[in-house]
Amino acid sequence: MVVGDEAGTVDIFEEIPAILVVIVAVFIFLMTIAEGFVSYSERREEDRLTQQLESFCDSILSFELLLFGSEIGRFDSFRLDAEGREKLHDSFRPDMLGFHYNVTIADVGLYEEKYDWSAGEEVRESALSRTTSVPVIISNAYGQNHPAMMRVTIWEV
Amino acid sequence: MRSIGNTNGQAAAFDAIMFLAILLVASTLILGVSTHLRQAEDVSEFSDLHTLTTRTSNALLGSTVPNASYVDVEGGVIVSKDISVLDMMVEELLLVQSGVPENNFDGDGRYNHRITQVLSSLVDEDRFQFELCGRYMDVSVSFGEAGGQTDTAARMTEIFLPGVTQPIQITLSIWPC
Repeated sequence: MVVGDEAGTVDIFEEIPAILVVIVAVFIFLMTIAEGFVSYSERREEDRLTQQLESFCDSILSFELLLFGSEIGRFDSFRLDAEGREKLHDSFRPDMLGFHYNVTIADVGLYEEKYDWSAGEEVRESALSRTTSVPVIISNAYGQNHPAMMRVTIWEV
Repeated sequence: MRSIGNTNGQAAAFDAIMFLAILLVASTLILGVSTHLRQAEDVSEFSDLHTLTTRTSNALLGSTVPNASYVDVEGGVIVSKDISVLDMMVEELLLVQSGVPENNFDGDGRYNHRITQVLSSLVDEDRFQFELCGRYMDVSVSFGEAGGQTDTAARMTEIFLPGVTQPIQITLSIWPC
């Protein structure tokens, strides 16, 4: 036991290990809270972008100017050209949508003639993007219905 | 809690360790909630699975192939051009029900081969498994894996023929790998 003026000094040294433990505990707790907050924020952002993607995808599937016989999910091979690309761009401008997009339709049918088509911008590397693939049909004037996969990617810059 | 003499430092350390333990428990709870939020994405994927199955079914049954064939009861090869998957399945079920052997539709370029080709091209087999099943009366044909998983989404299409009460049922089931 220490007496006199030196007692306080010794007490401080005795409690250094305890203070270190408290600092570590608080650090771990704060890091966990930060991780939880980041996780929650990311999830909310992802959910928002996912909803935008679903809505945008539905809009393209029912975009009258590209459809065959106004049937949702059935595109007209004759309309999948540069003009169709412009029409899509005019109707879905990125500055109005609030995100950028790329739409690619890959003809996966067994026919020799393919109706591959794409619109929008080149996909950019971005921190937050969402992609979905949707089975669709491309119909032509000869009664052929080509199975195809439409891939839609949206992203924010 | 404070004590005197040599135990001062030990008491402080004990308090600190208790504090650490409480914060570790709190941190674990926060991490648990955070992990749960991430796992909850599976729920939205499951709801999307129904949309995917509906869209895949529509695209599949409406798609046509350049040519497909089968062997009739007399051994002749019947070739159909620009025939849809739906028409192939209906025709196959009706013919098998009327006595054409099931294996007359198997083989390269035959109905079953063409249906499998279109189905495989429309489903991402790295992520999903599928079963396409057609039934008419006591006859059934199926493609893909056998289903039965709990998180399966299914889409049934029924076709009623004139004068027949029992419909032809075509069901596409899709589930994650």
